[in-house]
Amino acid sequence: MKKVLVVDDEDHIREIAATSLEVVGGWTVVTAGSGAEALSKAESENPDAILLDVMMPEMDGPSVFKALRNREETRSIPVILLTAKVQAAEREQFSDLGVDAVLAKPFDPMTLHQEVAAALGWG
Amino acid sequence: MNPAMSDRTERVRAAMAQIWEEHRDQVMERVVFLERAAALLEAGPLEAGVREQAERHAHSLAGTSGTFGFPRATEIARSVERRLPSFDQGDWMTQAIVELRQELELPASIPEVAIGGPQEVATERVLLVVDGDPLMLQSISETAAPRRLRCVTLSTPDEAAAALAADPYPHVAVLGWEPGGRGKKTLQLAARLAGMSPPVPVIVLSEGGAFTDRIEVARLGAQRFLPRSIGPQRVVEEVERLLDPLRFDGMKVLAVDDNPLVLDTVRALLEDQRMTVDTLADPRRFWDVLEEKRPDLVVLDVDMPDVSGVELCLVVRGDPKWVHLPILFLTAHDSPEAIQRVFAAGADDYVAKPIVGPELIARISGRLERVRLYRRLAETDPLTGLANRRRLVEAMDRLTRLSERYDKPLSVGVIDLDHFKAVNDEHGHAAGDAVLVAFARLLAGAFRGEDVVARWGGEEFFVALYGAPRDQAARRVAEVLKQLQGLAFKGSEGSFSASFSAGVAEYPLDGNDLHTLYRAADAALYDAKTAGRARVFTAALDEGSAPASALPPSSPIRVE
Repeated sequence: MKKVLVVDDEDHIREIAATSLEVVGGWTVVTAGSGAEALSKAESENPDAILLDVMMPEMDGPSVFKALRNREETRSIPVILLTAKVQAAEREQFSDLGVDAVLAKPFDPMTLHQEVAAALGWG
Repeated sequence: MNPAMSDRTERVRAAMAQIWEEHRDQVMERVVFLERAAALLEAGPLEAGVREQAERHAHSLAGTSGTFGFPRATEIARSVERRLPSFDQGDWMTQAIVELRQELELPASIPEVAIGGPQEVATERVLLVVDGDPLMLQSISETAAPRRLRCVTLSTPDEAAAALAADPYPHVAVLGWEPGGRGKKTLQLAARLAGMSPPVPVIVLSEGGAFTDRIEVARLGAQRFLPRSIGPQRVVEEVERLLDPLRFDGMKVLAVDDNPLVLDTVRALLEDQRMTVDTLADPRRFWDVLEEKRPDLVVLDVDMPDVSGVELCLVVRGDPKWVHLPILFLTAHDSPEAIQRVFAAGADDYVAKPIVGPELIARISGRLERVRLYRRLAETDPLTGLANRRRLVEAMDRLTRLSERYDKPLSVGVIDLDHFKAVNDEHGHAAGDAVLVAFARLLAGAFRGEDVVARWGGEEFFVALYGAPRDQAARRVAEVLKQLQGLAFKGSEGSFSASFSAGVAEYPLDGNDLHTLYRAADAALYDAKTAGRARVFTAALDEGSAPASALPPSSPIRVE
């Protein structure tokens, strides 16, 4: 079974994403409410993928992503960024970082798992 | 949906409602902050710190409200976020936040069945029209109404500036402008619209058209400069062209690169613009794929094993059939020598790697826009602006397919101006041309939507009416005859009037393709001519043509 780490500083978003992926996708979900927590959970939980919000206080999504890539243990975990930026150009910046996918917020809880699966090529 | 799925959907839905209830207060705190900021903003510009925090809260609300079933709240929050950096005063934000709060206090609208992606594109587009002439406002608004364009019409730039603060955010704007002092505010408005994020495309309507005026307007970022006399129809057409998310729909791009990652990137970027993308990783198969796909534009990587992009380009340019195909290079070396080499091989443009999305899209769209324009020109009759026979063939193909699929009638009319040679001989060719142009305008105004209006050649025209059986089509053509006869033309020998004769045939009763339909309608046209001209006949199945059935057989439609 797939295990996904959901990182968002907003409780309600973290919870609905987790519920959605657990119930609809049938995956195991662990969550983190900050960038620092994300880094430690990425190491301890060794998830199959990380869903990472872009805008977070202290350590934002892109910084978390870079830190993940700099560590041997977490380097190969696929990362999906979630962003409320709508402009193609803005989203482009994020994909240029080298993340595996960029998904739009607000997401639809009914289809989030499909989008994640499609982005990562999970059958 | 299967039972297991609907059960899961129910559970997520229940969870959404519950999570929303639990965290509602937290979310509403953001709204409270925005309310305070809005009050401050009414008094003057916000401190940088407050503004940034307000932007963050708006951003967060935009990103989350939709997930919990408040899509409208997401829109409002997004527009507030977008405007905060540039609109540093006024009560626009107060209004927006009042609406935002109302939305969030409504019950969540969670769709019964989750459909589509999280970001459904709004279907209604908002057109802002600012002009001092109420007639202009009205005529544009009326023309735009049937086209899913909602018009906000205002008579002064000041009103518009105030309106910009409140939703709806316009998707495009048409501004009436007179050069000189009085037009200053209009220019300021144009600049502001062009500077918005995303920029609002601006069309400027102006009496004059001096080069210096055009430059002034273009510098502000306006996209189109049109004479006021152009008429609402053309203005709205330009509006649609600027807005059309499908403008590259179906245009084909072939990308060749040995790196699949680059191909994927190009594909994703261009498919986002609704282009059709074919990719090829093996340049040795290029020629076959080119012939098979017949792309509108080719993207070539410079460095590839076996055959380089430059060599492919030389091959393309060596064949007269492909001389005009736009070719854009992707290159990792942008040294002057490398660039010179690709242009010498016949490249139209190049983009340096790593690919920057917006740049690639901008360069490709520019080329394709041009391709489309040329294609349109090649399919348009230069005198009348109607479709020429080339476009007609394509359009008829589409209409006959539609007619079959939806089981709707389809009729065609062949129309020939009466005594046109005499008009040219007596009143001169300029007068003859004037008749053709005026008549084309009548036709174009009389038939809309799915209908097709074309100039067949000389003084002969062709119309195709989708959804109309033969008799109804004949009546509509006869209406145009009446209108034409009401016009007076000036010629060298005084004023004169014009008329036409027409034959109408129906698909598939009288013919099953353009060729046979034309023959049937043309035979009826011939009968209309011999019966005395200025009348519309329908093709009849067996006994030759019949006068249009709207009137008794003894009196064919005829207006003197």
